Amino acid sequence: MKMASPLDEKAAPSPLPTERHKSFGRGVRNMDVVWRDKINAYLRAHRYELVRSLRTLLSAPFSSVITILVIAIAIFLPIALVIIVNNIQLLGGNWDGRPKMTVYLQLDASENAILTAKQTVLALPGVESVNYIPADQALEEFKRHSGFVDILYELDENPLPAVLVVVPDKIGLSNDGSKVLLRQIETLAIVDSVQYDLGWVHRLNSFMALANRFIVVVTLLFSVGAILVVGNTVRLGIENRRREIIVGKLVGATHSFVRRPFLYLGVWYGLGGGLVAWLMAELGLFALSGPMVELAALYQANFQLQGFGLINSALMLVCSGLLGWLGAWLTVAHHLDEIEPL
Amino acid sequence: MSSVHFDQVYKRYENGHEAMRHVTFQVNRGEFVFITGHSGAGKSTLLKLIMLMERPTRGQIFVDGKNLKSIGSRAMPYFRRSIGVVFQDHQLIPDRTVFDNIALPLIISGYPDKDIGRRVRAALDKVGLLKKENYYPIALSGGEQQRVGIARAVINKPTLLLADEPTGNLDPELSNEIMELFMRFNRAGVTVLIASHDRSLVQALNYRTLQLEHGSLIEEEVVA
Ligand SMILES: Nc1ncnc2c1ncn2[C@@H]1O[C@H](COP(=O)(O)OP(=O)(O)OP(=O)(O)O)[C@@H](O)[C@H]1O
Ligand SMILES: [Mg+2]
Repeated sequence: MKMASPLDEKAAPSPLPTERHKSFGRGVRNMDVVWRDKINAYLRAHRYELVRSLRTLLSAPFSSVITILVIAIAIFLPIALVIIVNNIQLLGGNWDGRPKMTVYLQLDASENAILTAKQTVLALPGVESVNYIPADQALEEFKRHSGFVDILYELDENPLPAVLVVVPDKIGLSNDGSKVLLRQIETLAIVDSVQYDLGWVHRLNSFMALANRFIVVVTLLFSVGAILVVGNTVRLGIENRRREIIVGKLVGATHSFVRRPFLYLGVWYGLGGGLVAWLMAELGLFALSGPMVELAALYQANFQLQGFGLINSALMLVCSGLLGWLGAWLTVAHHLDEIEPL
Repeated sequence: MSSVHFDQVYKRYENGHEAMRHVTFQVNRGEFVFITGHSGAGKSTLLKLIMLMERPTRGQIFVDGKNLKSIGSRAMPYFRRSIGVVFQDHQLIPDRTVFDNIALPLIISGYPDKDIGRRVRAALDKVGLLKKENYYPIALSGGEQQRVGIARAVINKPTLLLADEPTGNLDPELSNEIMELFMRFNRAGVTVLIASHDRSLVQALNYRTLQLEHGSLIEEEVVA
């Protein structure tokens, strides 16, 4: 056994890192150097745990995959609901959330009379704006938006009347205001008929509100589920690594050092779950998009399933990571302090 | 100046056992001191009190002039980094290699990788385990595990070294070598406190000895 003198290493002790300066420091040093050391040591510690935690994850691929799949399912369901509701909303057509009143004018109304009527309507209480669509334009739009192009080309006369599209304001949308407005417009001589399906709008509105609330509840529930799954897995991890935790504390590991690998583990689980959920959603959309296009084509309509979008996907992944972190943090806060060397 | 100072230290464990009864002593900086006594005399307890694994029920302990009472749980990790400890039960992490076990204090302190490699190998060289850096503790003999523990204890260049039965699993030849190693550290200025019930070893080495019996300091032999 070689017996070198213990402390006579040639190289001078390397610039001592970090925390040691705090209370057991070895004299004053240039503040900049101290800070650079601290930041370097901090980054190093994180890089170290990043690699280690990934390796831990990969060292037990089977249980990691199961945990990640469970989390993925918990995250997938809310995502799927959001996508479905979004697409229903889109399918609702050009509907921008506010009902409009479609006022069909007499076929023989003169341009002048129509413009006067437009001003009259605009002055009514409950009206925000009025848009005049001449008969020609109405025909064009009808051709563009409906599936009846072929039939219309065979007609030589425009069967459509000119239309005033009335956008109601709050008063015009209220139950009483809408009735009054409707009556006032209907009594104008130039008006042939008015279409204002407030009931349908209300039904759709309340359905959407319900759906959104449902999504919120489901998201909350499943987030709690994901947090619990991560928490439980991390708890098992803490049990398995008891020895490591105790030894670390014995040789001077701080709380954050002991905590860090588990927090990283939680983040990986969350991110992994989020990623798999996202893949599931995209695959699902891909599988549905073919049949959907065919279905739309049957109505000569042009409808495309909307996915989650780039920003929402990124946001979803960040949230998944945070969920994992939170699950790990809660467990760690609860269990790690109990493990003290004896 | 004293490195370790016990002032009327009394320790009663939760189960009522009195493990330390009004123990008072001082160990100066740079001293080499043995702590002896029968099994259950309180040797490990004494060392645990110094490194804050246990707190005294009454009395005060000073390390490098600092009252340990003033060290709370936030400052404790940094305090422990300034002390090297060889544990009676080794305290190695089973699923990490010899290298990683020894590197742990350096990783905790945030040393750069290249320094870690250099210093761990230097420490392994000193305890004669250079060829086994990739072994797991379970594949080592008791004595080899002991030496891994010693290498880890000195890796951070502590000014105070505590060793609890560091030669417990070693044959006489190896334990002499280990003692030689501690003496070299001591000559380099490190204060060394060794708990041991190996009377022959302690007597052969002629150092100051604190003898415990049922938690009381019964005898202070200062030889030579
Ligand atoms: N955590 C504990 N709780 C209760 N009693 C304890 C605890 N730790 C130690 N003791 C008791 O305190 C006494 C001293 O224990 P200690 O471990 O200090 O002895 P020791 O001198 O190191 O013995 P050995 O030579 O066998 O290691 C023993 O009687 C033991 O039973
Ligand atoms: Mg003991």
